[in-house]
Amino acid sequence: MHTTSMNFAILSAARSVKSVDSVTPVTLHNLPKFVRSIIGYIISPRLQKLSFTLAEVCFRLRMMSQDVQRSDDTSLIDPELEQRESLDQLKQSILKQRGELERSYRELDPDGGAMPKLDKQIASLVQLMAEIYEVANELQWAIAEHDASYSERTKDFHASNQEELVAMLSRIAPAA
Amino acid sequence: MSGNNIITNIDGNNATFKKTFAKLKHQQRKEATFAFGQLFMMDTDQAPARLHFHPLKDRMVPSVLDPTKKVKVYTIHITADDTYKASFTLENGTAYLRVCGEHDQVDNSP
Repeated sequence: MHTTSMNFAILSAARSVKSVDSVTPVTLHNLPKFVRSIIGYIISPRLQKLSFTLAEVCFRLRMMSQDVQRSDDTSLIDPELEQRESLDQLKQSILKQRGELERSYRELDPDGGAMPKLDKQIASLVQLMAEIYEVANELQWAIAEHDASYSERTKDFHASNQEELVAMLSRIAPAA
Repeated sequence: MSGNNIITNIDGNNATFKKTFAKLKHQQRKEATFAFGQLFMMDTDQAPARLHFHPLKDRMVPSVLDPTKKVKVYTIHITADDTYKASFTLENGTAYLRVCGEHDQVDNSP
């Protein structure tokens, strides 16, 4: 498994998601309507370019997930859960950027419907971000399931009743 | 009730399970502990609906007991809001825990 390229692909995905910032106007509150329209006109091509970028990110992550699921390589992909952590950060970034995007565009078009082309672009972008979130989660599961098949196993973590279960899980992580 | 489908033991020896379980937040670990507890004496043919017990589609993994053989992977929901799940294999009445993590489905609505 090409873990180095996978690491870079995940970092690159995170960078692309962060670039949503570049099309999120800081604040449009109380600006005249014609100014907001001009801003919308200027941002529209950038939104489209960003949509293509994020679609590629989604596709790449999905391909990686499928590769991992098909892999019969017995070496661990993510023994220290570093990629899991990177994907968690990517997911958190998506949620944050999505929220900022929606807030900004509510301010750009507070009454709704004045900029239908922009509305459609925003809706696509939001949907893309949701898909990237799902694919990032799918990749996390694919990697973890792969590694679970070949992980090291200890001998003394088992339980045959509730009390033993609580004790076992407390040894793995405190105050379970 | 078929005796062959009753879970009597839970195995947490898998390193991936231990690491992914430890990464859960405190409240999630608490709820997961309760969920895993529900597995004891569970008949897999009549699993409680709240656990959302089902096999993963098209997923066969090496058996813990005999790595030359492949077995199914099952999942249950481990938090009350169904946002987290755990996977395991079932072999001779033992649930061999594998992974804990966020469920696949996310809220697509803004």
